[in-house]
Amino acid sequence: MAKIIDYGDGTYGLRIIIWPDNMDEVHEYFPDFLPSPAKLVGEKLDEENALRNSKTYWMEGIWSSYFENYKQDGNSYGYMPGDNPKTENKWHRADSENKRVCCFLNAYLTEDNKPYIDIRCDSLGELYPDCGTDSDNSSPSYKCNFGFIFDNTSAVSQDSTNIVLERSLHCAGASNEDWHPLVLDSNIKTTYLATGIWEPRWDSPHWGYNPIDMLEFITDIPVFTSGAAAKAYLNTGAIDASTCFNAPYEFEGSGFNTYHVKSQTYEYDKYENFVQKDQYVHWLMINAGSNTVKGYIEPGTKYNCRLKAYDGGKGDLIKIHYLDSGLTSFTTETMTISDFNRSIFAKKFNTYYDMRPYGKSGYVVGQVWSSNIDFYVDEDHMDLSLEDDNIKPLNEDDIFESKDRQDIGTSADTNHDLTDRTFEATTGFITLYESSAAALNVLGSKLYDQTSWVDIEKALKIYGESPISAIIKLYHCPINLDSYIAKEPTTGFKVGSYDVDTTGVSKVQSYGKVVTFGEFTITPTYRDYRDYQNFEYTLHLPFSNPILLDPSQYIGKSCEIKATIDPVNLQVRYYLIVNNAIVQFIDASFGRQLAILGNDTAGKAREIRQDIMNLTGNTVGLATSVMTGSPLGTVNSAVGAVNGVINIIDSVKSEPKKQVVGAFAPGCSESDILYPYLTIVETLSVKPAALESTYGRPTNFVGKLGSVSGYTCAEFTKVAVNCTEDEKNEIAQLVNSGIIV
Amino acid sequence: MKVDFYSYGGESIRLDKSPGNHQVISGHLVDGCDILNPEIQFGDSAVLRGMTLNYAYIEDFGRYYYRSGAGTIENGCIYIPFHVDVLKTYSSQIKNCDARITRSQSNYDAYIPDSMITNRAVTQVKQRKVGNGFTSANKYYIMIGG
Repeated sequence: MAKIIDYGDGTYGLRIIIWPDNMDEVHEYFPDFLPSPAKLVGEKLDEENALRNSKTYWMEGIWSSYFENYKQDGNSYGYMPGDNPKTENKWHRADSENKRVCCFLNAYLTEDNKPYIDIRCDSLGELYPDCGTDSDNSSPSYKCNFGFIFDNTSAVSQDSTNIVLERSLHCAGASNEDWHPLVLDSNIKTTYLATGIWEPRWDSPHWGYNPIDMLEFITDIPVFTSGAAAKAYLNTGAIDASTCFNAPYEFEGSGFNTYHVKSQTYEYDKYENFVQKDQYVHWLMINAGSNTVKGYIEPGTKYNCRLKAYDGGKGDLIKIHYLDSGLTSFTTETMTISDFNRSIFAKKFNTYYDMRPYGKSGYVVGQVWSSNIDFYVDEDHMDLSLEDDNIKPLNEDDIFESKDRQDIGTSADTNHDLTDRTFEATTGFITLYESSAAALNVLGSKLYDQTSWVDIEKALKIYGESPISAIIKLYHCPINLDSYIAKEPTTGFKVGSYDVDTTGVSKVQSYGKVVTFGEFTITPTYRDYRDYQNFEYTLHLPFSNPILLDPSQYIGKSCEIKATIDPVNLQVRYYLIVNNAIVQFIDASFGRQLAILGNDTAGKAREIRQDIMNLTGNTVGLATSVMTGSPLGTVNSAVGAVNGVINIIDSVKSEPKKQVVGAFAPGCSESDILYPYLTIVETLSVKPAALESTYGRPTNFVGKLGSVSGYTCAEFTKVAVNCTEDEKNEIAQLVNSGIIV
Repeated sequence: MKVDFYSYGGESIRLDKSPGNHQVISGHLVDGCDILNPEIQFGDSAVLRGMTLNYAYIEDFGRYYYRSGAGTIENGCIYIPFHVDVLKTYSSQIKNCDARITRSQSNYDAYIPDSMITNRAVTQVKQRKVGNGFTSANKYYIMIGG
């Protein structure tokens, strides 16, 4: 797609379009410009597979940026470099509300709305040998830059030290409406200027010397072609490869077996009282095609997990993406099944959970364990499992991803199915208002004002209407619902057919947004049974009773709390999500219902009409008296009727009819804690020193006594020893009470 | 008979013992003794009066033995009792035995409760904020027809 551009002044440029469908060509010239996939590195990254789960992404450091809204103190949120950006050159999520981070390329110059780069070349398209190597800022005519060739036009400007391109990148967090720019530092390869908070600005990346060398952009976050595409991702978590420059590899294609395994190895020396020696992180993603990958444990080795690929019969190769400890880029290779099984990629993972011995004095313990691969107790079991479904993997409970578990129903992803919904709060004849206290005062005073609304005369003439009757219910709300509802300002209340103009009123248009409310991970303390028996984890959510968490569901896993609000009834529903599954939801009320008192003019008018109707009945009695020749009764009745009407009219002002809407209902206390928190109560325990080596620890392992080492107790020993009966009995007794193997 | 004496200061319950200080001393089997608990007559000597040589292998019996007592001295001889060490003697066969292992130093399951780890009466309470939550406000929501 590259083409030669004649600038008309005897100079030429080779124009390369920067677009997702042309990245192969881009990478021919600039291998480090948005290489795919957006990398999955960073210790706090979701272990399962960040891109697929649309979790937090990390940015490796060629960018330096500070946002006004992203403070660096303990109450920070957003994305900041570490305390020492020179070494901690990655950005990390500091707050759970920013679940997705991405940016889009906001190129200054485009062709057909696609950014491009012109590389200085001759009329035949041959690049100049010194292209991009001129370090003389004062004569930049041979420099090549993103979007434009330097020729002192308005596309670029120049300050004392840097050449400035008029473009910017923008970064946003999912919970922030504003877009903030990333600012590319002048000497990006060696220096990370992190001396203060910069103002958010639509600024330009400063490109220093060797611009071609500088045309690299390695980031863990997805970079999109437009703000709309980026926002689509922020809203849905889905990455459209046609709008993303560094889209992740397709790991979820139909018919593909995709696997991943990640482990972090901590090595200990028992002769140094189990002092940690070092640690290694390994991360492997596998696209196995039609093939199957399984694993088994090989005791006594440092990396005691072994992977093995089984031929699926279609000749598919194994594609792997591997990240080793301390490296920032994945190794990507394609290989045969046998090559994979022999490769280091199948042998660099440990330890399935517990501290395991290896070598003479070494122990390793695996942490950050994450895999969707079935691991078996040994290679034989692994092989047999291909034919025998009764052979279960060791980590059966840990595998949450679709592995055809042959259970009922179909696979569900309740976390991602829990999406924003739109419930209308304002319909044609009912309106939900958000009101300030002052606006409510205005409305309240109007409810007592008879003269300016419905006067009694009008009510008598027709049927009347009491504004109080139009009010359905009123709640006091102690929290801000702006994140959960959509609303628009309005000029006041519409009460039935009457208007009350005032400020501080908004119409609630809709609700149903699902908002991330919090997140926590319960990290095992002891990595043994005490984490389940000795701890009581209680989650406290605002306005809800404490929720006692089942340790088996939460320990070692991340729990995401989402919330949605019903502003009609002032109810909140919290969702607890573990491994993308909604495991629990909790409903709570957070508003206090209030009663409203007002004049019921129409009701009063009805009473008056009824009274007059009764008088009319007296008038009928009067006529009857005349006909029956009782003049005295006639006079009395007439006088009574007139007096009755007068009395009725007089009573209108002296006895106003009141109506109450709703009731004063108990609600939340103003002192309720408004944030979620976890209380952890631990019953402290005492583990004797050197317990394992002195008395061992419980196990339920059946096998040869020689397959274990150190202190060992065993029951039901089949003493297959060529000795006397007395000796057999003694052996059994000794083994039962404890021996050292 | 020839008795291979050793010094062994390790755990008696260890399967693979590596005794040291090997010395071969001849003795006589006391008549009528039990092979699993033999008593052997040696010439009295300071080295046997001490307990440095506390472990033995008797080739005639094909077994390893603990020295089960200090011995008795009579008529210039020392009579030393032994007890068979079935663990060392049959260590390789024992390792090949199948068993249900209930406690292990190497292959334990940390998630099985262990009565040797005792709980104390005291507890410790921690609180962790796990989200920003709501922000306080003073709003009213009123539903009105019309």
